[in-house]
Amino acid sequence: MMLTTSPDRPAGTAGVPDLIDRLRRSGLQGRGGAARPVAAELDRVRAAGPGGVVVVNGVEGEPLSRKDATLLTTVPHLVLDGAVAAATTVGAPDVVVCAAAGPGLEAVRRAAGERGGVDGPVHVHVVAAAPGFVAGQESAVVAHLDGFAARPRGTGVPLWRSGLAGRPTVVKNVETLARTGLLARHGHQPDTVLLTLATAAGPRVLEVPAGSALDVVLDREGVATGAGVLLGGYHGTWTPSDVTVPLTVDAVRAGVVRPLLAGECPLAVTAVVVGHLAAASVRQCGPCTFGLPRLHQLTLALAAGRLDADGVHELRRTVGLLVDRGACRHPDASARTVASALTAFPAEVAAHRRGACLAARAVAA
Amino acid sequence: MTELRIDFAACDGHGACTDLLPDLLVADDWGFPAVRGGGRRAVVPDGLLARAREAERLCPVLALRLGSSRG
Repeated sequence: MMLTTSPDRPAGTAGVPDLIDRLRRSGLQGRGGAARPVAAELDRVRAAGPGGVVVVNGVEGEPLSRKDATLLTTVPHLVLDGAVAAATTVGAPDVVVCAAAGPGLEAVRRAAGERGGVDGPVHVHVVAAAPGFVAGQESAVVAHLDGFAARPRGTGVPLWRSGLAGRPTVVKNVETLARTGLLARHGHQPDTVLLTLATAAGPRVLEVPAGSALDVVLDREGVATGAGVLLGGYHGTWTPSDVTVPLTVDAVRAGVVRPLLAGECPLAVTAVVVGHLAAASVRQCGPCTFGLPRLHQLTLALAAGRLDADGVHELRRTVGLLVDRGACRHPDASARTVASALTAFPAEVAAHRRGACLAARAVAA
Repeated sequence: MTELRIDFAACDGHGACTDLLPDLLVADDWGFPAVRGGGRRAVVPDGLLARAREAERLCPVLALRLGSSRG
């Protein structure tokens, strides 16, 4: 059984009494990036009392990711079945789908209109997302649905206590709810990871058994890899090509796999990524507003071979200034991407301090 | 145990907290508070409770919250 090839008809999942047990037994972790256990989250919002909301997060702000739009396009009823099953389990009368504009949004909107009363007391609403990377952060999604700017919440009040319109709220990613839909329909869900492979020809969505070796998957897909792979996307971690990584949920997070091309410099790609992340800041918190542009400048200088030992030290210090100091994890994750480049490619960093680039030299040789 | 939490979305880096609580907080390169030793919350020892309450009250944008920690 695969996610994207399941039949897509509404199955009537309002009222699966042991859904949380099924989630717990399957060990399902969220697929939006944070990889939190889903059973515990539903338990908590159920304990917060009736009248809650289940939000389907289809914002997919990660620039390289396409898996959620693909699921919304191919199996929208499966996603809605999962959301409705979750909603009935926690006593929530409403499911709100928030998805990026495009075919996925249109498909799920059409599907919501075709449900034909299978959802019992649960109402399904569909809303277009605000644009931007940070708009997909769960409290930013709720802010947008509440009619405010799509910015993460800084107060620390958890959504299960006070979310959409002050109601107990749980926000789950599209893929997470598709898997929940399979658990509600059949009692099990596939032990796979759904990936967006960023290739030179464009993004490719594929589902592989969890734990598959990264290099084997890339070989089978016919993707030649340069110096390394960025796993998890712009908020991800770099791994060098000569390291075999099992593709678990904890490793791939939101599922983006971005191999370097032959000759492509990991530090140059990191600089481009950090530039995007700095521009994506919603400039709400000081460390992110001021720290990400500096991180971008220093990473650009490193990639251009203009950073000496003191500069590299300053880059590492700036990484430290961004951890645990924001309303959301955008600064932390951006800093982690840079830190992982320094860890994964020490020889490339040393070469750039001398004004050379190993990746470029490998191609020239 | 009492903890001090900073709402970074509200904080404008006025610096009252880092002036009042130098043992717990340090200003970063841009004047925003950082918890000494890292982390999202500062544990407030009993001897600094009065100052921490003053910092909470004096923050011009009400970005500080004192609360009890769980466990």
